[in-house]
This record gives sequence, C-alpha cells and structure tokens, in this order.
Amino acid sequence: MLGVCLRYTRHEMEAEDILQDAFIKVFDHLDKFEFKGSFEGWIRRIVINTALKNYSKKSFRHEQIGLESQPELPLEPDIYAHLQEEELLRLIARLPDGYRIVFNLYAIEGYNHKEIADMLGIQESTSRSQLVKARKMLQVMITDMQKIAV
Amino acid sequence: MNKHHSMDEAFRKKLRDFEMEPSDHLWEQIVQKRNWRHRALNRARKQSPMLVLGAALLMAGLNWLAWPESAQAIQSFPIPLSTAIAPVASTAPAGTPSEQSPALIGEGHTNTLPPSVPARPAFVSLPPATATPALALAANMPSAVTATQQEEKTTQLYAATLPAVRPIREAPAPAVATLMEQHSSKQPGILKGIFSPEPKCAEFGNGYWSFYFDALASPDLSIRQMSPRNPEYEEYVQSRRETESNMYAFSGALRLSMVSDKGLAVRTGVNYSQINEKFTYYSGSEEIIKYINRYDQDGTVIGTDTVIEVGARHKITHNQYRMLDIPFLVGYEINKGKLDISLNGGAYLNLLFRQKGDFLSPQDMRPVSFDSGDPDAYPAFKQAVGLGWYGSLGLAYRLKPRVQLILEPHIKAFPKSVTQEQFAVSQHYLTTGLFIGLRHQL
Repeated sequence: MLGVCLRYTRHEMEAEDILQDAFIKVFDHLDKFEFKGSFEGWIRRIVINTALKNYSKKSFRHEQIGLESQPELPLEPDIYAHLQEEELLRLIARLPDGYRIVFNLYAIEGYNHKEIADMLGIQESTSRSQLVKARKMLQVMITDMQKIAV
Repeated sequence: MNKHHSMDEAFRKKLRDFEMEPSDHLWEQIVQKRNWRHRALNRARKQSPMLVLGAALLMAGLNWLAWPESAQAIQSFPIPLSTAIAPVASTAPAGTPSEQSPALIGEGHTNTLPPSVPARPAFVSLPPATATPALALAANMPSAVTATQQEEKTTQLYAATLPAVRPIREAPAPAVATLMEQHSSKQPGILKGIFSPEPKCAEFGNGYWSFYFDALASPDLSIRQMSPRNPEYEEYVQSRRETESNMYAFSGALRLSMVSDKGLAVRTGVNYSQINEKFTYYSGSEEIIKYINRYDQDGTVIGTDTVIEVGARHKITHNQYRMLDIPFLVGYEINKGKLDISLNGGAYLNLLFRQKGDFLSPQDMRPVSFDSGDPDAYPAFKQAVGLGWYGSLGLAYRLKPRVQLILEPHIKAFPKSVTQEQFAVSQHYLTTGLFIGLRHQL
C-alpha cells in the first residue's frame, strides 16, 4: 500500500504518514469490514481516501493557465516501456496536487469523472480538464527526459 | 476508465500493483499510536449509546436511593400485622366495642367524628398496655358489618383509643375531631407528625384523577456525538469538532398532567428545544477561481479568461438546530407536605427538526450552508428524527392551593442520527437541563 500512497504524494515521508494514518483507521474499524469484497480492496479504498483527505484542505483547482493551448505531443508508443516504476512515480510527484490526484484516480484507479467529481466535490468538467492538463504536463516532462537521454 | 489512452495504460500497468516496502519503524509507530488511550477512546466512541444508557441507569439508581421510605412500604402491601401487635390482638376476647370498653364508649362523644375520617391507626403511638382493647377490636372486626357500621365502629375505635393518650375529661372529643379533620386536609408541621400514618400502612386511593397544566422553560446543556459512517471520514469528523463549538441551548414545554390519587402520573404536551452552536472557519490561502467568457459583438464566445483570486477567509456562523416534540411520559408522584416529588420517564416523538447554518463539506472541507428551509442547501440533515427518550426527577412546591413551582432536572436523547443515512457522519444529541416553571391544578 505504500506504492499507492506514493502516487498521491510528493515525498516518501508524506506517503508513510498517510499509510500510518490509514492503517490506524483500518485497525480501528476492522469490525466494519463486511466481507462483501476483497479485504485488500477495502484497505486500498481507505488508503486512497486518507490520501485524498490529506489534500482536502488545499485547493484541488490549481490551474496552470496556458496548458490548454499546447498541442498534444506525438510520443513514441514504446517510450513508456523504457520508463521504470520509480521514474513514473517521480513524474507523477511533480504534477500539481489537483492534476496528480485526478490522474491517479482516473488513469490508475479506474474511477470515472462523475465518481471523481463526487469524491472531490468538484465539477465533472473540472475533473476532465485537470486530467487533460495532467497528461499534457506528463508528456512535456517525458519529452524533456527523451531529449536529455538523447 | 480510459482504456484507450496509451499514457493511462502505461501508467496503470506499471503502477497499479507497484509496491514498496515501508520502513521498519512504521509498524512500531502504528502500534505506539494505537496505545491504550487511543483504543479506549475508540471503544468509547463505538459504545456511546451504552454509555448513555449507563448514565441513565446511574441517575435512576441515585433517584432510587433518594426514594422515600413510605413509598417503598407501599410496594410491600399487603402488610401483615406486626409481631408487636398481632399477639396482643389474638389474646383479646371477641365482642363488640361497647362490650370491651363500656366506660369509654359510654362518654357519648364518638358521634362527633365525621364519617369521612379514615380508619387510620392512631393507636400505634400508644403503649401496648393501653392500646390492647382497641387493637383487639381491630383484629376481630366482624367481616359482615356494613360500611356504615364499620365507619361507626372505626370512630369508636378512635374514641376508645384517644383517652389512653389523654383522659377524655381533659381532652374533649370535639377537640379531637377537629384535629382529625385538620389531619385529613394534610396539615403539615407537628400535627402531621402526630397523625401521620404508620409507615408500613398502605394508603388507599379513591380512584380520582387530578389534572394539571405545566408551563416550563429550561437552560440546557447539549452534548453532541459524531462518528464517521466510514473510516475515511475520521478526519472530517475531527475537522468538524475543531470548527464547531457549543454556544447555548434551551427548551420550553407546555404539558398536561393527569395524576391519580395513588401517585401514577401521565403527561403529554408539546416541547420546543433549540441548540445553538458556533462554526468558525479560517483559511489563510483561499483560492477562488472564476471562468469569465469573452464574447464578440454577436454574442459568440471568443475566449475564456481564468481569474484566480487568492486571499484569507474567515467565517463565523451561528448554527441553529430546532426541535418540536410531543412527550409521552409516565411517572410516579409522592407527597411530602408542600412538596411533591416525581420520577418521570418516557418517549419523545419528534415532529419537526429544523436546522440552519454552515459546516465543512465532507467533499472538499470548505464551508457549505445547510438550511432545512432551502431545497438548494446542502442536504445533510433529516426533517424529523423519530423517537427519543426522556427521564426526569420532578420537584413541585405548593405556592398556593392550586399553584406549584416546579424544578425538574431532566435528560433527553434521540438514539437515531439527525443526519441523513447517506451523509458521511452520524450525529446524535443528548441534552440535559433544569426545567423551571409553574403547575396549575385544573
């Protein structure tokens, strides 16, 4: 579960704090697990929600004006295959909070925009726009990495 | 889920199940944080309804300890003759009162006693030797005598007994009758002590009911209990506790009471209560994002400006929770001179629950408004919260023959949450206070 926490945070220590809080909740509320789904899924949801609450007092609507006008860059399809997990995590960690959370929830956890909007208390359109901007920002970062490597 | 975007796919494949080993000290920290205090608080939070019940039982226990002795004696009715009296009565010869004490009856003062004087055993205060004839008569009263005959014989008993305390020549019967009448009208003071019934004798009611109208007001203390419906809302609950605080609470009631001469009381009416809380919110880095469309002369959108306003936000709101209830109470009352003491308990049926104010949204932890009168406000609370329970100890002091001053410490709680089932947290209120008011006998 530390891997899950790392995706939602910028630093490993912050991720460990979230993991710690999440597991305290898990132990406190073990009796509430109803054996309807997988135990791992139940814990995962608690971890994700704890991570989201960690940022709830901050703005999810951090915007970077200007990304809308940037075209989607063409990337080689196999470029991701060369990237290690740690590199991907570092890229995600560099995203602004709102982008990172929406990208995690949508692209990795598999929630749709309506679910994300309900979870974060934002508009669906905001979720969509943040996802698009997160992708573009990641593309820019990956392209920069390519250039450096070349 | 977007399964078509190559970037999403790549990140999901590599990171979805990516795991890392946490540092060794993490588990130690979890164990350390979940110390006995944390576990005790967690257990208390889960078992809060049981704690409330325990407090109610404790209150009931204290009331029981303060319960007057005479009321307990009634519960043990029928009471056999005491060993001090019964043997004396059994040794006395059977016969009519006139046969047993002709000299005393012969004074001719017995008819001065009113027939309504109850057959209370005034003789219990007598020395056994002097009381013997009367006791014997009481024990051997023929069961076939009519009620009138019995009343006459009873009055004879008083007449036969009183001279033993004070010679008839010194205390004429009319004076005795006057004292009896005074006693029957609940005369307090030393006379009450003289004529008070034997503690172990049950008092018989006549089946009559008295009706009272109560007007009461109370300063209240409200105790709020909040618990998350899912563990992920723990922090939300904590934030709510930090941003909301008690201010004051009060309640008022109009009640109609029906009290039997045996002490059973039934009460109903209407009760209004209000809880006031303070919501305080401060954010030093608040961002407000505005999207402003730009239009051409034809009204077509030609662009959008994004404006971000950054600043501090300080918000204070007085939150109100108002309830209208109908009480259904039963109680037991005893009289101690000018004071009536009652123990009451029962149900409160909540008719209306109205609220207005601000709190943190569980979604983004920002202030949102809730208002039961506004359909567009945040829908967190119920419109009615069902049945609650109520317990009280009532003290009513007689100011005038038909007016009493009431002091009634009480406790009230609603076991169901006041929030809607789908809301993030359940929220309960327990209120306690002191009703002060007037009771008028109708």
